[in-house]
Amino acid sequence: MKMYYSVNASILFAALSGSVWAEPQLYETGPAEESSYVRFVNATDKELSVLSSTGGAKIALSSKGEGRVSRFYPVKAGTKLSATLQRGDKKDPVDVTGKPWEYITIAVLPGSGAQLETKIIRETPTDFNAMRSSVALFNLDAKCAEALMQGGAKAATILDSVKPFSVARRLVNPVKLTATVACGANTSSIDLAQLQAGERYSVFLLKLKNSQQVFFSRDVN
Amino acid sequence: MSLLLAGMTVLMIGDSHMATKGYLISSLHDELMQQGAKVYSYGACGTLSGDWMRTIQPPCGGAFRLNDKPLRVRAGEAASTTPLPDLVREHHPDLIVVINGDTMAGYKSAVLPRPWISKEVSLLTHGIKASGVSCVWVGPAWGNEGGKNGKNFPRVKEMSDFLAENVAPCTYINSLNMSKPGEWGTLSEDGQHFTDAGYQSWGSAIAKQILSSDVLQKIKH
Repeated sequence: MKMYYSVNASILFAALSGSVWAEPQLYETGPAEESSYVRFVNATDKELSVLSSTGGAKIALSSKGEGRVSRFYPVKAGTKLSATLQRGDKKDPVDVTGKPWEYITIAVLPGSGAQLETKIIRETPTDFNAMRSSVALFNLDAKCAEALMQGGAKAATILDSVKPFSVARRLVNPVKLTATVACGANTSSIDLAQLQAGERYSVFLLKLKNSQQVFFSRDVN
Repeated sequence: MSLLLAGMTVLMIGDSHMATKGYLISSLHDELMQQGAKVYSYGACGTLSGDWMRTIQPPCGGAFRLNDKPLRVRAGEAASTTPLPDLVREHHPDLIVVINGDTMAGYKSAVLPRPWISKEVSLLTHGIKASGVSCVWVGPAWGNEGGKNGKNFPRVKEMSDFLAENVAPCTYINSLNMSKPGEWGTLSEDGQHFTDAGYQSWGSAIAKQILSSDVLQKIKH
């Protein structure tokens, strides 16, 4: 929150002359409030929507590619975010509270029967860098004990040992990147195209009907 | 007089360190003029990086100085920022100097607000990149611990390290290498703003860094 001394007299003087002595230099050296960021990922094979608690906002998530992932929405840190997941007529509540500057990914998975299951994956990244690209691997496959991502001409390991419902992230040079995501003997290829310096990317691994799938999105907040 | 800087037009923008007579808008501006540059300086107290891409009324006044004209101090609405693209159109600079950091360091917060700083910084760096003008970015100096803004050495270091990785395409000028912590005197109960002698030392050290930086070698004029 920026703070102001009373400057009525100086503003009045400024209005008359357009020139005054400097005002006292008192201001806060940070944001007005601490935020966290929340996004939703559709890891099911059907389209779904996320409704805000008031019902005033609706996020549509497709069941294909980048359309599965929402942007990150800022939420005041420490404040509970409540939302409703809707698939057809079925509705499931979800709520989450974030710590300051935490990035929260709420993954929606096919549960048992008509029930949806949600998993919350949290990260508080420190790897912001305008000269490199940040690439993350999210393992959304409960049966994949350790996910691996390799890339480049020499198939170098980018990220490894990513446990179920967790994330690993690292900085890479902003190159044109085709990656392979593997879980045991199962491998999938994904083309992230030309990475941009300063941008952040998430690669998601999931399994639907016993078939491994991989997609990615650029993190937007 | 510097052969590299002579005849060059420099546009300087910054926060409170550029918004009061005797601060960098005096010392650094004078130093660069003495090296033969035409210098146009704008300071707005309490501003965030992104504020230089929009018009905002700073919380504690501002100042400007057009080359060899007298320094003008403004308060209230008259101190409002002029967006960088407009300043570039007006002055056609060969070099942009940004002086900004303390206002975003969150000295009183437990955690450095990295995502928020990243967003503010990239707003300005994208504007600078679009202008095609070379730039240097001057980070915060040590100051003294305590004071009303809560400045402290570990956070200054953390902030400076963060800026070093996030101000590209600008060349980062690390002010922490220019003095020892607490070496330059600050105003009573402030910790962040220096005495005139402190600003003389900082201004001279910045000018020296600008003159020795690779960026000047690359500018054709």
